[in-house]
Amino acid sequence: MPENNLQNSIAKLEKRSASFRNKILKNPAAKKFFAKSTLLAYDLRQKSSRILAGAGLVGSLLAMPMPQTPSFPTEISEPVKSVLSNKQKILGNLQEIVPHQPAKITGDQALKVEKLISENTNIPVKVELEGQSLNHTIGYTGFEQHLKRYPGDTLAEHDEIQEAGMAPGLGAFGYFAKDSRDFSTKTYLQEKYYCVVQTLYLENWNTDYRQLKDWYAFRKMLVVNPVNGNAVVCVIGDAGPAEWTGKQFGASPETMQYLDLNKGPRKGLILMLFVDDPENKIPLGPVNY
Amino acid sequence: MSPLFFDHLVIKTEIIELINKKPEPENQKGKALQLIDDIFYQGIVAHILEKLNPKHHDTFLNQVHERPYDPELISYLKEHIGPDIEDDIRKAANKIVKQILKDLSD
Repeated sequence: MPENNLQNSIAKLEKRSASFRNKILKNPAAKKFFAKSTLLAYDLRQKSSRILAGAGLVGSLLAMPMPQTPSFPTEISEPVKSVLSNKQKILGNLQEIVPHQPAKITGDQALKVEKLISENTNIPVKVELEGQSLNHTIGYTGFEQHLKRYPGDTLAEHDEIQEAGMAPGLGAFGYFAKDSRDFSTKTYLQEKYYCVVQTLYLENWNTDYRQLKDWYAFRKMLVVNPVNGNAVVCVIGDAGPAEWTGKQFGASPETMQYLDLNKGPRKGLILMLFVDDPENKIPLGPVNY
Repeated sequence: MSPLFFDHLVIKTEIIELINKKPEPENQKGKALQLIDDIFYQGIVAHILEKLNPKHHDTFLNQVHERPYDPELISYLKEHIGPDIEDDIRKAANKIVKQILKDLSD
C-alpha cells in the first residue's frame, strides 16, 4: 500500500465534494441561498448545536431513538473539530462576517476580518493601512490582461496564460521595470500576481494625487476568494475598473486562475486587503494554508 | 455535535471501519471523515433539490438553514415530494457510500 494512500483518497473525496457543490450551485435558488449559508456539514452541525443548546434540547434530541437504521454522526464529527483546516475556518467564519455584495467593511466587522485572515494565513492584513482605505473591501473582480513589464515587452515573453492577451496601454503605475535589464524575479512576480483597485475613485485622489499614487503603486495586497478560500498575495499594478463595469477590482490572469475565477464569466466576489509588510518579507503568489 | 435531519438515513459504518483501519495519522483520517460528512450533506441536498418542485426550494433551504436537526424536514419532503422520500434518500445515500468506498479503496 503506498504511503500516501489516504492522501490520494482525500484528493478524490475533495473532487467528489466539489462536484456535488457545483451541482447544487447550478440550482438558482440554491446558488442564491448558499451565498449566505454554508455547504459544509461541520458548520451546519455546529449551528444545529447552537440552536439546540439555546433551546435546551441537545441531550434530548441526541438521546432520542432514531426511527430507522443507525447513523454515526458523532463518530464522523468528533475528530473533525481538531483538524479543521485554516482555510475551512476562514470559509466558515467569513460567511457570517462579510456581506455578499460589494461593500466597504469598517469598525468591528473590519477587525474581525483582519483577525480571521491574519491568524489563519499568517499574513498580517489590514482593511485600513497608514490611514488609507479603499472604497470597497469586498467587491467583484474581473479578469485582466497581461501588462507590459518593461519597454519592448511582448506577450510571447509571458510564460503563462498568453490567451489572455496584453493590455495595449500601460498600467496606471507604469512599467514594472524601467527596462529589460532591470527586469528581475521581483518584477516578473509583480506582473504575474497583480491586482487592480479603484484608486481613481478615492475621495482625495484628485487633490492628493502625487502622494497617493506613490503610496498605492505596487502596494502589496491579499486577495481572497470567499467561496473557496483561495488567496493570493499580489501588488496593485493598475487603477480601475471603471464604475460602469459593475466591478470594483481586477486581477492578473494568473491571480484569477488561482482564485478559480478564470472560467465562465471570469468575474467573482473577492476580499481585497492591505498586507502590512513594512519589511517586505511576504512573498507574492498563491497562499498555501 | 448535533445531528442533521437525514443522519438516520445514512449508514456510514463500512466507511468508518475502512478509514479506521488505515495506517495514516489521525489528522488525515479526520480530514477524510469531514470531507465525507460534507459529501453526504451536499449529495443529499442536491438529490432533494432534483426531486422537489422548484417553487419549494427556497422554503426547504431556509428550513435546513434554520433547523438543520429537525425531523419535520422529512415530513415537509414527504408532503411535497411523496411518502417514499425517506427510502429515496436512503438509496441516494447508499449510492454515495459506494462512491466513497471506491474513492477510499482505489
